[in-house]
Amino acid sequence: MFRTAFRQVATPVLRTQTVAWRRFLSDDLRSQIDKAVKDHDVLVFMKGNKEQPQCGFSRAVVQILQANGVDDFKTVNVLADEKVRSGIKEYSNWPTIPQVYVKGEFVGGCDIIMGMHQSGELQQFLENEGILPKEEGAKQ
Amino acid sequence: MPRNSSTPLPPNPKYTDGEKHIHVKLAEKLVATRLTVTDISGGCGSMYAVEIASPQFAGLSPVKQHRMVTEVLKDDIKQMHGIQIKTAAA
Repeated sequence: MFRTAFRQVATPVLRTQTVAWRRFLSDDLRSQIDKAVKDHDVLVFMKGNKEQPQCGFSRAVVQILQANGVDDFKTVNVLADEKVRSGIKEYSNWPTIPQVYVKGEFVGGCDIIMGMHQSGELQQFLENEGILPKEEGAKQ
Repeated sequence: MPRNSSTPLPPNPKYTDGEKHIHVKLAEKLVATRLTVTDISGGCGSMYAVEIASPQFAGLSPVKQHRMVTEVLKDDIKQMHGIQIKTAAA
């Protein structure tokens, strides 16, 4: 279901023009990404997918989310679409994959997610965002 | 341009050329007080791990801190398969 959101409708090739290095992200793709990050509480742009990550950093992010009790997150396989792969880097102003979005906000890549996980901050963050139920009797 | 009271953190003499190149850029642009650059691609220059502390990171979110690093290295990153970043304010 997810990939249809990014399937490009066949359009005539734009007339060739030199594009500035930053213009990989078409308005159309930008609004598709916009919609996707807002439609899903947790969205991960990664290499491969949940069942078969195709990169150690992407795998780490998947495992960390699952270890924190988040099973129900959506992923976008950037390897399936070169435009999404470069477009998301421009959209997020972030040069690497994976990228984790929570409620439409960019949270970080593997290093940041791992850091948050190790410090316990990730659990807290996910509870505050309503992704995870707050623990009964948790200290404030 | 205001004169820095200290010179940029010098690179480790054992660095590969790639490591040194990255170190020098970051040491200067971000006024690093601690900085280690490691080629983690077996010397191929395709993946690096950067640990950097800088007073310029004070008060900024991790995302913002990482962005400052990637901004300095943006041309080099285009050549890389990946980069790992650890930042600290110091």
